[in-house]
Amino acid sequence: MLRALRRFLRSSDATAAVEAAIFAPIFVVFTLGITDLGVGTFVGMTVNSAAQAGAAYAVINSGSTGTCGSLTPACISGVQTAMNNATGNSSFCTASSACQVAFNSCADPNGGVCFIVTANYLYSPILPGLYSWAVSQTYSSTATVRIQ
Amino acid sequence: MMISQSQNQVWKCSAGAVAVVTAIVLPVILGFASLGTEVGHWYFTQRVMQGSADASAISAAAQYIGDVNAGSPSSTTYQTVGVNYALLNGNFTIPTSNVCLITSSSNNCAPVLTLDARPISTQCGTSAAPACIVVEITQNTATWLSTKASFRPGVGKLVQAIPAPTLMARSVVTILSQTKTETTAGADCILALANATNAVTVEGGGDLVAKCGIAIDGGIDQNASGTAIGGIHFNGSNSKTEATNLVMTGNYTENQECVDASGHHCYLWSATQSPPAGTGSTTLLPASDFYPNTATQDPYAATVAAMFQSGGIGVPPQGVASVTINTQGNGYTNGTRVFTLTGGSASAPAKVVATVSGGMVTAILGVFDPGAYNTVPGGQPTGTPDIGGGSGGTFKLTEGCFAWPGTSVGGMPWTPIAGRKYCSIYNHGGTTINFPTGNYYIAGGDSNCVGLCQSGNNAVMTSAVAGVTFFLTNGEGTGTYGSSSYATISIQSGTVNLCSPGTNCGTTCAASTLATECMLVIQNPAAPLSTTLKSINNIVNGNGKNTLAGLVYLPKQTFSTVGTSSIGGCFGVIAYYIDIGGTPEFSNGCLPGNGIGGTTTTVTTLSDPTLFQ
Repeated sequence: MLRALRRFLRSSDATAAVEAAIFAPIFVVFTLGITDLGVGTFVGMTVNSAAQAGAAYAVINSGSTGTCGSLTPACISGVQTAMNNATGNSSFCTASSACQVAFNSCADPNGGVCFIVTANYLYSPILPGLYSWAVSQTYSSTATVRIQ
Repeated sequence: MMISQSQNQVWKCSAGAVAVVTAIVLPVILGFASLGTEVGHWYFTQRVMQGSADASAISAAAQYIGDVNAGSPSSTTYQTVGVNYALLNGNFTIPTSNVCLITSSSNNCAPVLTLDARPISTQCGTSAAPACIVVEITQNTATWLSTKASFRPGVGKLVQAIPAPTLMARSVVTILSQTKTETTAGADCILALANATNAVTVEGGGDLVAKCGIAIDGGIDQNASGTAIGGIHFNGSNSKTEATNLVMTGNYTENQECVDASGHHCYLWSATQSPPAGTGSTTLLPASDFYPNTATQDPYAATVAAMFQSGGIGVPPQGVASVTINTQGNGYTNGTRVFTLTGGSASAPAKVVATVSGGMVTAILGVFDPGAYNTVPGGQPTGTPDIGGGSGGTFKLTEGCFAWPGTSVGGMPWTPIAGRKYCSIYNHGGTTINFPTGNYYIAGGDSNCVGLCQSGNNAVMTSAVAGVTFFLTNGEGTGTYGSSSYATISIQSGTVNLCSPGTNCGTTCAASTLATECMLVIQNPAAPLSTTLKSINNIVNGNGKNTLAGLVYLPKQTFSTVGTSSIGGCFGVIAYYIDIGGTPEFSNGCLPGNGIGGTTTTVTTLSDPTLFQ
């Protein structure tokens, strides 16, 4: 019994496999971390472009004859469609919290009226918690545009 | 020996090979992976920067549009706003010089071009894009380890470090400009067009009461080449005016026009002191209400000129002036018959009163209604009798203006008919005429009357509340009342109470779709010129108080009120000369459109910010 164990330890057969098995998790942790970073960047870009597309729709249609002269249901619907199109995800805005449109006095001291479009998206990393960027969280982007 | 042996053993030994390979390869793989990640991050940053620049430029444009439209085109607040919104959208801090403006007259985008040499559209500052707001956001890429430690093939050397690129985002927003015409309502109700020092003359004892301004245009609008001398003249010691302001083209001083040896003549209209409420204002017209060297355009010149062009509302219809019997026919009911003529192109057919005897038409008593025709019936038209049958009767007719028949035609009671061409309208004696609403065309006058006339102390002319308009135009053919004779007004006595459409005989005139809204008398501007005061006169006199509501428009002739007459109502007048006796009261409440003395200004506003580049 003892001899068999000693022979196993002394044996140099398949040492590469054993070593690979030791290093593989380290390697995987690195690569998955980078993947998560890439996915996170993608999600960030998605919410950013969604917010910008929504704001652009509101600005373009904010003339006196457009649907976004005030915050009409048609305006909100148009903004959300633009946001869906920008993300390539027709259900991006399905959750009411995902796409928010507001039409308010601007917070800026110079006054005016602003469209504030916010896009939210839940980011779930493959390796949650291991890296600072790989934390399950809601990515959010807001575009604030003054139209008057 | 030992060494070489141990070396051989190291090289030969395969234990720990993966660790070694990993140690060598991992940094390389991680390096490339992180470089890729970082380049991805550049794109991400670039994307956010572009969005921020767009939002910033649109917001700055909103501020700039507001500033320009508020009359502060040189305000630079747009730069502050641009900076604030770049910060708000993505937390980019940019200097104010990165928010710049290009217009046809200014361009402060040089700092932006220094940062980012990409040209800005040459359309900026042209009519296609009168104003462009440009926002530039630049940022050096994060100097991550991978960027610093990465290499690429170099020219002249093996490798060189990859430079950290500067990311640049530019947004150009164009702003469109619109020009629109803004008009303000005028405050005047009397406008004299003659370039004469006595364009408005107030006769001795006369009191021109104007709850409005008096304007004398002479010279500038009508006679562009002449020296402007249009003014007001007071003819006698008791002549005066009570008005809210006095606007004249002549180079006068207040003392020169309103004060002479006999004293002051110009008073400020007062609601309580001026007639009809009181006996006269005691407040002198302040210098601030005296405007010399100021032209006042005739605001209706083009509109009225068009009315008398072919097809215009001022062109009278054709009508049947007189009728004779062509064939007598048979079978008609004996007595006095009214025949309605057939044929022609008519909006209303003519009616003729004739005597029928033995079933035949034996005599024409007169034209009862001249009709309103585009073309009167040609040949020998037949007529349809009011009672009974009959046939074969035909008539010969003459086109022309209809002589005002007074109270009856061939014994048939007669009332004025709107929309007909009259030679004159002449009310005399003790008759009262009530004009139904509509347009009355007076062509040239006739031997009874020069146009619209009234005489006789008990004569009265009134109109329907819905209003009437009299078109004074020229006659037809040759002779005294032919094509060169234009109808005028001669109301010598009696009482007149006439209202134009829209006034409802009240003190205001409601806008309507009628071309004649608020217009009571319109004289064809082709009428001969009254070269001096009263040389061709239109008189509104009377022994009672006349009431007129609307505008009397006599652009070539003199309008005068004489003696002790008074005119009330809501009345404005435009004439070449205006001669005032008595106490006529004028107001600007019943003028068409924007009234007299309004201003028309062209305003340029900016709007429609659009992402351009």
